[in-house]
Amino acid sequence: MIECRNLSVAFHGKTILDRISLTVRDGAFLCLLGQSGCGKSTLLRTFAGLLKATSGEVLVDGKAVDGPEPACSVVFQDYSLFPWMTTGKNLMLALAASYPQKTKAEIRNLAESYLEMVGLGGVFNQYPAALSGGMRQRAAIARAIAVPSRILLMDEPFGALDPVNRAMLQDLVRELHRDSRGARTVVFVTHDVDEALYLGTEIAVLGSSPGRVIALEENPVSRQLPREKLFKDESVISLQRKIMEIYRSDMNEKLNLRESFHSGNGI
Amino acid sequence: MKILLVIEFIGLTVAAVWKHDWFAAAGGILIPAAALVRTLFVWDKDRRTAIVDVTAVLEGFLLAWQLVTSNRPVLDPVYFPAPDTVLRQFFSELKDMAHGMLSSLYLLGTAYLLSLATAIPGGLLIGSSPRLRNAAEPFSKVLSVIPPIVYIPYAIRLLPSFSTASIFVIWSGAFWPVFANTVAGVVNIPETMLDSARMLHLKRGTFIFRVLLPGAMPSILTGASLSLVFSFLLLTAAELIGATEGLGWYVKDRADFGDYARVIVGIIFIGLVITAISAGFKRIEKRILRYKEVTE
Repeated sequence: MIECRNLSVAFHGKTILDRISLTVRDGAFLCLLGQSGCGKSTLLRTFAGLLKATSGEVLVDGKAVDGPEPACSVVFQDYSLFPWMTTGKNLMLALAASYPQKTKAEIRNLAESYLEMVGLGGVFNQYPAALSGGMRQRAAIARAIAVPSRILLMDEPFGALDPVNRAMLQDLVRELHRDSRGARTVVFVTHDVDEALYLGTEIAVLGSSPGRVIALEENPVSRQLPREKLFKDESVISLQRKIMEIYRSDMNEKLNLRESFHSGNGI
Repeated sequence: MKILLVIEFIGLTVAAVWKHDWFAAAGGILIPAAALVRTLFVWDKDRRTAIVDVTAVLEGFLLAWQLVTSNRPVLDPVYFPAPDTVLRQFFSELKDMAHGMLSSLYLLGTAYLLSLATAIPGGLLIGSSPRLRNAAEPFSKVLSVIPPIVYIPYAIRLLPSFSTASIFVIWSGAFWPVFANTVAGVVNIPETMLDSARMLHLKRGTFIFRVLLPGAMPSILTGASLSLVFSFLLLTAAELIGATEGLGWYVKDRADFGDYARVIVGIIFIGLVITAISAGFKRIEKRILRYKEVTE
C-alpha cells in the first residue's frame, strides 16, 4: 500500500507537486493521468524514493520512504536496461541483488524463466541494442517482476512504442497484474486516456502547474471486459467523457492563465 | 589507377634490375604482387579500389624517391639516402631497434598503465560526487593545461633515474585526458539509468564495476586513446633529452653521428610500432564496446 499525505515537491523554488494526498490500496492498478509537465513522473519518482519530498510524506506499507524503496520496482520509458549487459545478464544482476543466497545457476534459470514469461525466450544472450523497443520494454518488465517487490511503478513505459506493440504490452501488463500470489500493486503513469481506461482499476487525474489531484475515479469494469467490449461499455464511455472534460477544463485554465500573463493582469 | 600501378610496377622493376638491386626489386615486385593477391580475397568493390589506390600511391612515392636519390641524385645523398639503402639498413638494424623498442615499451607501458590505474578510479570517485567535483575543478583546470614536457628537466634532476623521471612525465601527461573523460563519462550517464540502478539495491562494489564503470566506458576509452597519443609524444621527447636507450634515443644518437639513413629507418620503425599499438588499442576498444553494434 502506498499512502501519500500532503506531499509537496519543489525544485529550485518551483512547486511541481502541491499537497497531494493519495492512497494506493494493495492490489490496485492506479493510472496517473495528466498532461506532460504536470508532475506525474515526479510523483512516481517520489513514491520510488528517488526524489525527496519537500514537505509531507510518502508511506509504503506503513513505513516512511527514505531513499530508493526496496518494496518498489520501476520500469521507465527508456534506459531501464543497461546497454552494456546482455538482456539475460540484466535480469541476473537484479536477481542476484535480491536473492544473495541463491547460486549463479539458480539465478540464471530464474532469469530465463522470467524472460520466457514475457515472451522473450530466445534473447538471453542479446544486447538491448539488438532488440526492438517493444522487446526492450518486455525485458524491463521481466526484470521488474522478477525481484520480490510487490509494487510496480511504471513511468510512461509504452510512450515510445508503435500502436501494435503498445496494445500487446498493455495486454501483458494486465495479465501480469495478477499472479499466483494475488494482485500486484501497480502505479502506471500515462497521458493516454484510453490506456488509463483499459489498464487502471483506479484513475487519478493530475492537474498541471502545480501538480495536484483534480479527480480520482474508480474503473471497476476494466478487468471484466476484453478490449473490444470495454470501450462499448456505457460506464466506461461516460467515464471517458468525464475525464476528457476534466482534462479539457484543466488545459483551458492553463491557457487562460497564460493569456492573463500577456495582458499584464497576472500576479 | 590500375594503369598507373602497372607503370610504376614496371618502372621500379626496370630500375631495380638495371641496378642489380634486389632490395628495390623486392619492393617493386612484392608490394604490388601482395596487393593484387589481396584484392582476390576482397569482395567489396570500394575496398578493392582502395587497396589498389593505396598501393599505387605507395609505389609512386617509392619510385619518385628512387628517381631523385639514385643514379644521378638530385638531392644530397647524405641527407636523402636512396630507398634501397634505407630498406637494407632497416633489416640489418632490426635487432638494435627491437632492443630499443623493448626499452621504450617498458617505459610507455608502465607509465600508461599507471595513468589508467590512477585516473579511472579518481575520475569515478570525483565524477560521482558533485561536491568533490566542485572542489577538484579549479585544481584540475590549472594543472591539466601545464604541458608535461616542462616537467622533464625538473623530473630528471629530482628523480633517481631517467626511467622513473620519464615514467613520471608520461604519467602526468597521460593522466588528464583519461581523468577528465572518466569524470565526464560518469556525469553523462543518463539519470534514468542511474535511477534504474538505484532501484536494484546493488552493493557498492557491484554498482561501481557493473554500472558506473561500464556507463562511463565509452568516454574513458576516448580519453585513453588520446592519452596513448600523448604518451608516445612524451616518451620520444623524454628519450631525445635524457635516455641512453630506446627508440627516441636511437634516432637522436644516429642523427648525432650524421647517419641519416638510420635516422629514417628509426622514424619509419617508430611509425610502424605506434601504428601497431594504435591498431591493437582500436581492437580492444571495439571489443569492449561491442554491445553498441546492432546485429540484425
